[in-house]
Amino acid sequence: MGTFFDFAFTGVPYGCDFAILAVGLVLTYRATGVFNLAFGAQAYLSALVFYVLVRSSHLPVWAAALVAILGLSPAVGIFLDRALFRLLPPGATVGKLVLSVGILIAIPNITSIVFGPATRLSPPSLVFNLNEVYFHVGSVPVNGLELGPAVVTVLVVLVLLALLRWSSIGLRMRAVVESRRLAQMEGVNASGVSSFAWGLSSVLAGLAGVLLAPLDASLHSSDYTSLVVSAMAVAVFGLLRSLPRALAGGVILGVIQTIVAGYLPSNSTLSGGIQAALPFLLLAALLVGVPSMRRLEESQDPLSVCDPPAPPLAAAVRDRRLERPMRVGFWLLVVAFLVSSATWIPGDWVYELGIGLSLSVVFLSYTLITGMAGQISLCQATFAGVGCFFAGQLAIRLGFPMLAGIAIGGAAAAVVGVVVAVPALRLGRLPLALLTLAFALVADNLIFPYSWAGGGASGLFLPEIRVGSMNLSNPRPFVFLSCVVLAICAIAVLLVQRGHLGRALAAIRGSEIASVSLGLNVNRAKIVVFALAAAMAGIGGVLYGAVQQAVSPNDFVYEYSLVFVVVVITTGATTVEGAIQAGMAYAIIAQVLTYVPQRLDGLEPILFAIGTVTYAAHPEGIVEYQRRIWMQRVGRLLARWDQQRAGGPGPRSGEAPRGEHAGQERSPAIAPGEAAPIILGTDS
Amino acid sequence: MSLLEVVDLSISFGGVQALAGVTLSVEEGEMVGLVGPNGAGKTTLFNCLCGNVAVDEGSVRFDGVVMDRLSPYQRARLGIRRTFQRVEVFPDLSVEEHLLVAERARLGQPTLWRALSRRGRESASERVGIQEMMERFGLLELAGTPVAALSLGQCRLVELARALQGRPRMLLADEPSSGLDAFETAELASTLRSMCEEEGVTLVLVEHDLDMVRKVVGRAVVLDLGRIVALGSLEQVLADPQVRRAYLGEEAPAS
Repeated sequence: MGTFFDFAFTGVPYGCDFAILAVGLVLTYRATGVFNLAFGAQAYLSALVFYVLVRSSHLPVWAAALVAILGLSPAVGIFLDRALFRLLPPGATVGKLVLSVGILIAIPNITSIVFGPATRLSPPSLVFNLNEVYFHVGSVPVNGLELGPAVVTVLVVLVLLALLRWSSIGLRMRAVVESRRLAQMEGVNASGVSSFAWGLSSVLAGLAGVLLAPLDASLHSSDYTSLVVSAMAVAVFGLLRSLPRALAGGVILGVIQTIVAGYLPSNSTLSGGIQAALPFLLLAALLVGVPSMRRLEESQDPLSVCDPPAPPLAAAVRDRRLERPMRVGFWLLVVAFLVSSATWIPGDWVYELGIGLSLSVVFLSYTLITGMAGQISLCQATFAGVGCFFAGQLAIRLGFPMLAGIAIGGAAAAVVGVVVAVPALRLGRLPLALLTLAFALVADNLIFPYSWAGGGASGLFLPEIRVGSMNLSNPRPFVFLSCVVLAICAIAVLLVQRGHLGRALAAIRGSEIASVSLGLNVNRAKIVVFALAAAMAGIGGVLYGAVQQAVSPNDFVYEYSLVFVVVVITTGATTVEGAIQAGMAYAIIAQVLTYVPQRLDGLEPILFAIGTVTYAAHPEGIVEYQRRIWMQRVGRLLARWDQQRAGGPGPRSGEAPRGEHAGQERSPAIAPGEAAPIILGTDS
Repeated sequence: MSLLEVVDLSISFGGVQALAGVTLSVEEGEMVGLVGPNGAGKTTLFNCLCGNVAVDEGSVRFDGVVMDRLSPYQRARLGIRRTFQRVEVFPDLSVEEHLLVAERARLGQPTLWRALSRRGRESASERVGIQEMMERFGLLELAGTPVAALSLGQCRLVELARALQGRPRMLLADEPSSGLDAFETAELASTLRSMCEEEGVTLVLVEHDLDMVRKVVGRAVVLDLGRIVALGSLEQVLADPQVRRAYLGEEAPAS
């Protein structure tokens, strides 16, 4: 019994590490309405600055902590609010999520450019001497490393509870989270309140960052990210509302983890995996099992009826006369691309283009899930991994041809997709995103490390794709193969998009309850689209593996899913073109960046992370936006040309040029006085 | 046998007893008004009938089929359609597409392959039915308009047209006149009545506008605090002292 108590007790301070992060997540969610996946990155930033100030600038610890926690952190938080989150349209669940993923990716990459990628050993401690044992509980010694977070976490929870209960700011923060515009109309200074909320939650991030810095021997951003992902389970245990529950949840998680670690045999893949995957298994169980978690943040902005309707897609704005030239241009481009990649483009570029084409197939899965079903999945890289490893293992162990493996891998991923989709059916957007993230992390820790799955540490070496004597895994023929596969997948997505299922999904996206009331089987539609998307990811994964040949679990870790989401949302998740251009852009920028100094390695994720900012202005993606703009311009030119040819008056006195006001063209049909959407000014 | 039989339906949310033992039957082809003050449980009753919430006790039969274990979409396929108090439309779809979704859903579950491969555009026969329905509700000239651009009143009409496009046996209309002016309400009342009569649709109408109720329904049910307090013709029901108390806060004579 003594050992059990010892294990349990060592878990308490360990659990407080989770607790302080979870408290931060809950506070941020309550105060700003954002489930801030970037919380860990913010914590890392202040820990890093703290480290640099102490170790390089030789500031005293208290001064460095002051600068990092009370100076830098709130400044960053207020910047994020004013420069980014404020621009999002109200009620944009997907936008908030993607933006926070973008920040999560951007911050570590920016810091590694600014401060250099050096390893930072033995981070300093803020409060207590790390190794000094202050007292014993039973036979367990309690040292400073363990005491610090525990004491601070409890204090922080008490202070926050007091603030939220006894000051009026708590109520105002909730009003602003519900609807910034409505709160403003009621006389609340929404900008001030939301800046305060961001500042406060960022101070907490800074505090957590500095406190947790000495946990590991060196300072790494990935440690913070994975800690925060574990803390998500705790935040969800607190129902994203209750600070005391989050505190309790953190302690419980810490205790469970140390007990499991204590009783499982050490040094086996299984026990290591279970230990690491435990928080994510809990997260998944909580999301699926707790009814109030299913429909988080589904409240609409009460003023959304006042917003103008979304602009029409480029295809709707297009002048009919453009269709033929565009089709001809498209085929010319395809032929030029294929001929060039077969002839003059250098080999390393062709290889990278092949990767871009395989990623395009993976990205098509976002067109289905995000563009059509309106959901965010954070595990598409995992599905790609499932496809790749399944096809690879079949090829290596049973000698299946890799060409058939492309289809087999897609089918395997689709099956896993159904397995993930079934528990996710009733979840709202945010819980679904978290569930998929949990699944990705469980797969990373518990499934892929095995030699029968991802090949373990050494990975797999995939056989070549052969047709007769031709080796299609060589970069140049591979481009042709992947173009064919991409074309088949793209056509499939287009058919679904324009067909019956696409419209049903658009209806479900608009109103699930109304779709059900018409007799639509919403669950089946969701499962089908999830399975299709997983299949696309799986097919892309096999291609991605086949061109590299040597693949390991590291090629499909959850970080890639995060990067992928950011890339696709930036380029355009609503159209097939968007997905293809996302894949090509990702590959081409990566190749271009091989020519810049190594220190700028993180530039590509930064570029795309910054790209997520454009979500606020045009959620359909920059590609789709640019296409619409150009279609409108060309349409206007054509209209002017028409008028001149007809010998009519100049363009200024003519009717509205075709296309430009496609949205307004409808208005004559609408009764006057009701039609004009009232456009409210955004925050000033 | 009645088309709809509700037996002893109860549901509570936390401490609030939203429905307390509601027993009600509606005959085929009947038009019933469901009236009562705010918070009486009218919309909750609709939600229970459609399976949107799980009931605590009681049972609902539709055309002899016990629906208690059916999911909402399966109940819809039995021939129940509803509209919503807070309009529920699909913002990205046009008016025409709303009706097309309803039309396709009515025809039942397509096979997986057909759901994937079927063309999105409507067939000629589908178009005829849809055009006709849009004409009935005066929506023809809005056919291609995305619903996000419509006014609240127009959205109500789209909702009703969508529900009727499913050729229901029973229509549950939840305050269809809210957001419409007096003239539009009168017009809606006559359209609703004539459509339901022609197609033999059983109608349950929740409505605060008693004029409209009077024009449409034959029988009224008064709900207050989750209980049925009166049944009968509208005039009869409105004269009931218990109803007057519920609606107007008049003291009922002690009995």
